[in-house]
Amino acid sequence: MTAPNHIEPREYARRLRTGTNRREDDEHIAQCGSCRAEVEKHIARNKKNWQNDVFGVLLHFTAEVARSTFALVLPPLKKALQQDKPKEIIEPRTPVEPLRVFLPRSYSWLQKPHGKFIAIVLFTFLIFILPAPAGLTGSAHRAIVVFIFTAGVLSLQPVSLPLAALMIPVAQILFGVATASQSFEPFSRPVVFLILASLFLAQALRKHRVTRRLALQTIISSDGDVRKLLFGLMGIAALLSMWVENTATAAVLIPVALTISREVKDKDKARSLLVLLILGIAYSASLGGMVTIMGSASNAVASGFLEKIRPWSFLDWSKYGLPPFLVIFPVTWWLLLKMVPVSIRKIEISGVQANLEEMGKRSAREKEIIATMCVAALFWIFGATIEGYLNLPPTMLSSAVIAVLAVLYLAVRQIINWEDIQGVSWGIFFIIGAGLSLGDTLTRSGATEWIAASMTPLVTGPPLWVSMLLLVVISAGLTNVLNNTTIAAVLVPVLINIAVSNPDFNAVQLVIPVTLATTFGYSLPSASGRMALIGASGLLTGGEMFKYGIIATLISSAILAGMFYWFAIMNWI
Amino acid sequence: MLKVLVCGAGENGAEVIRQLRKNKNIEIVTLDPRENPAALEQGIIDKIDVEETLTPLTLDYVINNVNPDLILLTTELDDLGLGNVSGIDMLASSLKDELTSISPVPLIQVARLGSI
Repeated sequence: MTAPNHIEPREYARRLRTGTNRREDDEHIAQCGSCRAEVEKHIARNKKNWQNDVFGVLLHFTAEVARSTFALVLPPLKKALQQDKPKEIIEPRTPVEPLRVFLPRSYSWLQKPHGKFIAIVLFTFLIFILPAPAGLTGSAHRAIVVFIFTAGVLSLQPVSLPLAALMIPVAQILFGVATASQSFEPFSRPVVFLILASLFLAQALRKHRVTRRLALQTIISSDGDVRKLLFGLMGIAALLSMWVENTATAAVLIPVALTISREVKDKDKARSLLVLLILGIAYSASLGGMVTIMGSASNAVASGFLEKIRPWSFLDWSKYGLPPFLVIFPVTWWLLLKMVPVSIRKIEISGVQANLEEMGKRSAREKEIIATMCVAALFWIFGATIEGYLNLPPTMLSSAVIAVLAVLYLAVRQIINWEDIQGVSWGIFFIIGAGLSLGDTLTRSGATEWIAASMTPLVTGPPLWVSMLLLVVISAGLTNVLNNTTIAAVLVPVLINIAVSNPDFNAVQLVIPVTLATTFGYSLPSASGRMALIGASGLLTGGEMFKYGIIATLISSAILAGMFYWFAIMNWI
Repeated sequence: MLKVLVCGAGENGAEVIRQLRKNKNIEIVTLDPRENPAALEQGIIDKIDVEETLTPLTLDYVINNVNPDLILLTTELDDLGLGNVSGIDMLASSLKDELTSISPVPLIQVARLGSI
């Protein structure tokens, strides 16, 4: 009998014990002399048996041959089998390399601020010294030179966009096409304050994490299904962009998309998911902006010009902006799912759930912000009607006044303070002001009439659906290289001019689709703040951004032009 | 020894490092994606310990490798090195908010200290 602590020598000698047991036996034999002797005795007996027995010798020989064969065949066989089987996941000691975005860039001389500025100034000077085209007065020629300069500084941004915008009134004064008062007066128009107030409201939403909570709740309600998740995030981006500045909305949601993508451990899959989500956020933030005046700076600029020729309210804009949004938004969602290849259908949402739980219950302040936004929205929509019904002084319930009142209410309730307001991108103030100022200067100098005369055959010559499509596509194309405020500032007065001189058209019929088309700047980082952020992320190559963008732009433009053509033939516009 | 990860070695990060050095019991680890940030240029530090951009995607990786007790987010807009991209200021603020929300390690945003 073998003692319980001793090994079983027969099994050991026949190599019947393997793995940990074998190692334990080895350790025991090293220390225990009696077991070692027993094992040696068994090994010797086995050897003798094999050698004495003919059958045993044959078996031994066969076993040796088999072992040698296995030694030769087994490694390549194992390798081949491993290719078919899923690889065993081995947790590395350090986590896998993460997906890296927003990496700093190096710039060539021409890409550096002074290089860009010198290039813009040289090009502007070249246009300035060229002889003026026929029919263009000296003043109008100089105004067009200012427009060229504006297009250059707002597209290439030798300095931050707001500071670039501040160069525009100064350029107008230096080129002698406007006085200082004429140049700076448009900066104080009500639409400027409307957009500024919407930015302050965006800051309130960000500070109290209303946007983030909404996004997390959407992710959870989608149950991690990528299609639903994309639709939900796009919906939030669009909904918020209707009421608050759309680049601000996208800027808050992009980091949430990064948090979602970190749940996907495979770097390539995480990248494709992130591309899908941030494109969805950027496109839908732009699309949401179609619906309201404050949704986009170009809407505000266009409204500023329309106000001058006819009564124009918040509701007037929305009744033309909402229908195209309702059609183009789901089409864009579907297009993105088709265009961006994402191999994962579902993502893990437990991390997001934990994040939401950490945020705790919705605070009283969050509820108050939402309530304020809802009340403000009601006044934005019905303000003009209430004003008329109650015989209130004009503009008492105008969009800008309501927006500023909402901000002041939040300030009195100490939900936002001056420090929060200071942290806002005030630059939008300069960008819209500069757009309005440039538009005024082009009109005053006669440049608008000259451009309108050049464009009239394009608008009045072909059938309406062709001219509508051409205008929309041109506007959508231009918005990729020019700032959309600049496009609105130049094209809106031109289109108003054409409409005034052609009784077959009305200004709204031309201005609204062309302004809405500036939404579809999806192809280049210079198209909008949203696309600039995507470009800065380094996630997409220029080719990818262009490919996805151009498809979305062309399809959206065709839908927009088609809808406005239909509105026109139905006499709804 | 308290291990503090200072994210951003720009002007603001340089001031934070100067202040933290007053306490010898603090081990400072610096993180910055740029080759030559202000703290390095001014000779306050002789190298960047972790060359990385801190985003929700890289947060866990950085924490696992550095194992800090505290993260100080001193990143300013210029520290991102992304130029004058429109809207980048709003994105930078939101990115910091998001990192603060999801970080498993105490993470504090440090506002611009100015010259101290």
